[in-house]
Order: sequence, then structure tokens, then C-alpha cells
Amino acid sequence: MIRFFTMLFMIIMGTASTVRAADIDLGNWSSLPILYEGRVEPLDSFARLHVKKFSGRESLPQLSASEWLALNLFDPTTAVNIPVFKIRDAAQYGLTENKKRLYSYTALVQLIQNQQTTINQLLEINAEDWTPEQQHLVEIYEHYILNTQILRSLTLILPLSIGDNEESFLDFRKTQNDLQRKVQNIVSRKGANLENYTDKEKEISFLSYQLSLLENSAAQNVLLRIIPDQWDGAPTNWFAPWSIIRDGTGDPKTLEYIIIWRDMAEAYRTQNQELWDYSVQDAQAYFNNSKLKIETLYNKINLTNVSLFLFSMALIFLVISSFMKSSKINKTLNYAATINFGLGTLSLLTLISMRIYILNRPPVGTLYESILFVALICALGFLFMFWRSKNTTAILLGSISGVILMTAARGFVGDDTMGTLVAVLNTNFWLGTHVLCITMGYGTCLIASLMAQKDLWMRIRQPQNLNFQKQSLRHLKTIVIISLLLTTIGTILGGIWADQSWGRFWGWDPKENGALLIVLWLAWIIHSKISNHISDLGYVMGTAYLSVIIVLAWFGVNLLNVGLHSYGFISGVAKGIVVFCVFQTLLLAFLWRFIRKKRTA
Amino acid sequence: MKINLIIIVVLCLIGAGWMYASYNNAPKTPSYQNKNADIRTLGDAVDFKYTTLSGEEKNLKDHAGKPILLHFWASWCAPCIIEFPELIKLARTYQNDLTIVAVSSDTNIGDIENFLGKLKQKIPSNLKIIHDGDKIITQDLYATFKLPETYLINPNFQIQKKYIGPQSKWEHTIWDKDIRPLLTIETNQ
Repeated sequence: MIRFFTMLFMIIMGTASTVRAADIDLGNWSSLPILYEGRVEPLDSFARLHVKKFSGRESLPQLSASEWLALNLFDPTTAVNIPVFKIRDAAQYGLTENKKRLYSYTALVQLIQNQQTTINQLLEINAEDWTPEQQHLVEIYEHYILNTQILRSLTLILPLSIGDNEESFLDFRKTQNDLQRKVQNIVSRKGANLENYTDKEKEISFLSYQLSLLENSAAQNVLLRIIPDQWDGAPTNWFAPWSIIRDGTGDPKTLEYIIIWRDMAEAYRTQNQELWDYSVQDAQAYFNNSKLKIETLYNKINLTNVSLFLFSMALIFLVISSFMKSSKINKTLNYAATINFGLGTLSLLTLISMRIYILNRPPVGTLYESILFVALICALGFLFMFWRSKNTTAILLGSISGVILMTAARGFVGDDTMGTLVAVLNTNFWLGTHVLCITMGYGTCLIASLMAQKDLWMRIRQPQNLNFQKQSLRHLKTIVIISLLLTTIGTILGGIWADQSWGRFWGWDPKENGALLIVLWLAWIIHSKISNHISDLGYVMGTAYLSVIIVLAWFGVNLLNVGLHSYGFISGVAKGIVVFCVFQTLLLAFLWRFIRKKRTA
Repeated sequence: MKINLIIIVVLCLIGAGWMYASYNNAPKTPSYQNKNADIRTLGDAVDFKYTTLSGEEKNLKDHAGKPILLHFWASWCAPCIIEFPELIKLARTYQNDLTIVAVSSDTNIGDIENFLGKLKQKIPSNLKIIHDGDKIITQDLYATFKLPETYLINPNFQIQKKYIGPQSKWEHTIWDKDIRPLLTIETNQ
């Protein structure tokens, strides 16, 4: 019985071989295109997304994401034993716990078989009623289905474990209709009992059964859309290999491309690096793939981490510098911090520029991108201030904003950060105007808030330094005016966009209210200062509190899950927002009280 | 104060420039460009040598200069045998303007002859019926795995269109819409 199931598994997954992924250098294979969730992307991005989805990691202990994908596609029977699925409390599902909490597809199959009844029951009820454990179980089940599809993607062209020859389903297809007719003939003559068949008839029946089984299990597989519609000059429609059988999408050119992939499979199986490189080069010749190459490079160098590292280094150098007494060391550390901060800003600028080139749209379309862009605005703003004042405090404030924002951005990296935008956002005009205006406004508000907090700190450390206070107030007024200008124009542009998209200028939607809140706050502190309703200290306090207003309007309103801005809804960050707001409020209250106390004394 | 004013003016100019640039930039989806972005055909058809059931030997390319319908079928395929009389009718009506090459995947040539015998229709000279028992033309050259399928090849011997599954309106709709316009295109022959 076990042998029978093993054999069935091998039929469905293709052939068995024992190659190790590392034996073939994948080279440029990772930058071949695939259409996934509406976007043409390199296989590398597809692989990374799935490895992250399954394991929660960027890569696996011994394999890169691309190597894992190649193994799944070209050698599925080896791939099923690679631990890739993260499972919490595996013991409760009858699996042996391991340190890394990573389990193979084979273990997953065992888990799914044990839990099938529970999963079926869960799928019947509303997802909102699931406990976290039940949610995890359904997630495991979804991962199982997804990986099954990936494993079966190329079974059309992989050699089958039938007989001694290395023919694929594509070769056997030529005889499939004849075989089916022969089987019908045998059954009509001898019935369904195998014992009445001759050895030859058994062989024919079994071969026909194997082919039907393989076709039925794989033909619905449309996940790996690697074949562009050859009829379309700039194809929007892409096909998975099995669709040439299922939907009749084959044609001479498509077949040529599939044959190249078959050569790749052979090269992978026989460890023939020369044939592999040659086939990959052939496949690349079909595409004008500079964007795909840039995206593969983008994935490899991970500029989010590079920027975070450089901003952190700048911050560390400045902190160390503040404890040093030697002016020579201080100077060196400040210089190192400035260089690191400059390089961090440059890498962030490169990151955003690469995204603009790859996605062919303005830099901000998602919450993740808005964080990157705000981080860049802050970094550039503080660099400008440093250039004007030559004071490393600007570098310190810039590094703090860089570290905080890039850490927040890293929280979104697991998702597809380059996914297709929802229809309402897919307009370069409004993305380039309203969205950029608003996010630049967020950036300048954060700069203002950080500068104001530094001002408050200086009021405690050097209360007599009136010159600094005067100069700081002047800078704050400028930056607050710029913030008001950007957020007001951005909000009005948003209203016009809303009128065009949803048929109304203003709808008291939470996101709109958030934008209005910033504008009102800025207008309030400016007017209160002009009319002398608040003191200088009050003005600085109001500006410092902008960070809380921005965080609430930027992230907070997205948690409400109400309104038409549904593309921005998020969950799971409520705790972080509350902690930040409470911390900022307490810090500012403390500073306020301390300054007042000092003044009174 | 002057510098602040300059900053604001520069920011406004950048914003206005960006708006202008964006406005002239039509909405785009993340794009991918095929190297042959300008073509609307599938390039050259694949040539092959064939022998008809009546023993006539030719290459597919010998028919270039007028439209060719390369039809894939088999006598065991129910939709194919329903569609086949329509194709005979089309070939007969446009005898001087069109060539139909009907490639059968039947294993035995006798099955095709039986089927044609039962049809009791005279096959026009521009309908070439050929046997492709080993499916080299059907699968290896033209990637046809489901029957019936038909390629329309234009007079320049380029694949113009593919019809998946049986078609019921060969003589009227398809002729008028797809084939007749090809009669007027300039050929390289």
C-alpha cells in the first residue's frame, strides 16, 4: 500500500532524482519573468515572497529563495523533503518538534491528513470567529495548497517515472488518446476486473491511468504564469505551462519557449551547467528584461537594511561622541557619523529610484512606500540643515528619524511591497501630486517635531541661551509654514481626486479627517502664535506634539477599517501606535514641566 | 526671510513641474515589453512537407501568396466531424482564394478514409487532407493538444490568428471578418 502511494506521489510530482540545488549555479535564471498577482516580476521576487510566506524568513538555512524555487520546479521529489514551513506548536499536530520550527512538505502532508476534518469544519465557519491557533492551522493549509501548485507547475515537461525512458507528459500526450480508446476497448470486452487482463492490457490500462491522474492533478495549475501571450505585443496575459493542454494556448512560439524550459529541467537533472547556461540565455533572449534584472539586483542588495544599518551607525557614532572628551576623537566620530548618514540617505534615494524605475510610477503608492519616502524627506531635510549650519545636531535628529522610520518599514518587507495597486490608486497623476504632497507634508512635520523636541531639550540644558531659542523658533516657523503649505495643498488635491473617483469632494472619511487634523493643528499653532495666544514655549510644544498627530493621521486612522480608503487598512500595529503616542505625550509633558519648574526657580 | 521665500518658491516650482510631468504621463501598469512589441501576428508559420491522401506531395509554404487555413482534426473527435462539412463548403466556395490544409491525428489512415467515405462529399482541390499519425505536425510543430484547432496563415506566410475549438461560422462571419481582408494585403512573394 505504501509503495502504491509512493508511486502515485512520484507520478503526480514527476520524476525522482537526487540532485542538490547547489550543484547548479542558477545564474540569470532568477531574473526570468513571471506574472504573479497582476505584476510581471523576476522569479527571484516570486521565490522570496513564497519563502517568506512559508517560513517567515528571507532565505532558508542552506538554500537561497531562488534555489528553493528551482528545486521545487525541477526536482519536486527532493524539494518535498526540504524544511520550509514554519509551524507553531508542531507537537499538537503530531509532528516532532524541532528547534527551527521548520517542516518539510512531506511533514505538512501528514499534518493535513491528520487535521483534514478540523480544517474542513473551520472553512465552513466565518474567518472572524477563528482563534489564533485555528487561524494558524488554516494558514498552514493554504501554504500546503500553494506549495502543491508550485511543485506540480512543470510536471508537464519533467521526465515521468514511467518505465525506463525519460519521456515527459508532453511526449506521452501523443499516445494518450489512443491509449484511452484501447482501454475503453479492453473494458468493453473484459470488464473492469484487472485479473481478466493480459499483462500487456494491464500495462496499457495502468499507463493510461497514470497519465490521466497526472493531467487531472496538474492541469488546473495556473500559478506559474511564465509564458507570455505571444499574440500580444505588450502581453498582459500570461500562461502557465499546463494551460497549453487545458486551454489550447499553445502555438509554435510558445512551444519553443516551453522546450527551452524542458532543456533547463534536463540540465538541472543531469547537472549540466553548460546546457543550463545556454537554455537560460535562450529564455532571456525572449525578453527586454532590464527591469527584471534591476529588480533581481534590488532583491539581492536589500537597501532597506543597508540604510537602516548606516543610519544606526551614524547614531551610534554621535552617541559615543557625546561621551568623549577628546576633541580629536569627537571630530573623527562626528565626521564618521556624517559620512554614514550621507551614505544612508544615498542608499535610501537609490532604493526609491529603483522602485520608481521598476514599478514605472511615482514613489508612493503603499503605506510601506510612504514610510520610505517620509524617511527620505527627513534625511534630505536634515542634510540640508547640516549643510547650512554645519551642526551635527541635524545629523543626530536625521539619524533618529532614519532609524525609527526604517525599522518601521522593515515590518512591511515580508509582504509583497511591489504588489499591484488597487484600481483607484492606479493613476500616475494623482500619485505624483496628492500623495507626494501629503507625504512630503508628513516628512516636514516630523522634521519640525524633532527640531522642536531638540529645542525643548536645549531649554533645559542651556536655559540662558536665548540666541539659540530665537534662532530655533525662526527655523521652526519656516518649517511649520512649509508643512502647512504641503499638507493643505495635498488635502485639497485629495478632495479633487476623491471627487473624480468617488463623486464627492469631502466625505468625513477617517483618512480625510486625519489629513484635516494635521492642517488644523498647524493652522492653530501658527495663528495662536501670530495672535500671541500662546507663548514661544507653547508654540514649540505644539510643534513637538506634531509627531503624535502625524502618527495618528498616517497610521492610526488605517486601523479603524472604516471608509473608502480601504486599500490603506492595516492591523497589528495598534499596540505600537499606542506605545509611541503615550511615550511622546509623557516625554513632552515631562519636558514642559521641567522647563516651567526651572523658569519658576 | 529671503531664503525661506526662495525655498517655498523652489518647492512650488518643483511641485508644479512634477504635476505637469505626471499629467503628460498616462497611467501605466508595471510594464513588460516583448521584444516584438510591434507585431500583431505570431511571426512566420512553420513550414513542413506533406503528402495528401491522394498522394500529392507539397510544402505548406507552396501555398503562400493566398490565405491558408491549417486545420487540426481527427475522425474520432466529435466536434471535428461536426465542423468538417463546413470546411469543405468553405473550400468549395472560395476555391481560388483559399487553401485549407486539414491535418488529421488519426492513428490509422483507414479511419480518415472511412470518415470521408461516410461524408459522401467531393473534396475540392484546395482542401488538402493529410495524415499525421505520429503527431509531429500537430504537436511538435504547432503545439496543438486539443482538437479541433485552426491556424489562419496570411499570404505572407505569417500566422495571423488561431481558432480554438470548433467554429460554426466559417463561411460567413470568419471569412468576412478575418480571411477576406487578407486577400488585399501586399505580399512579399
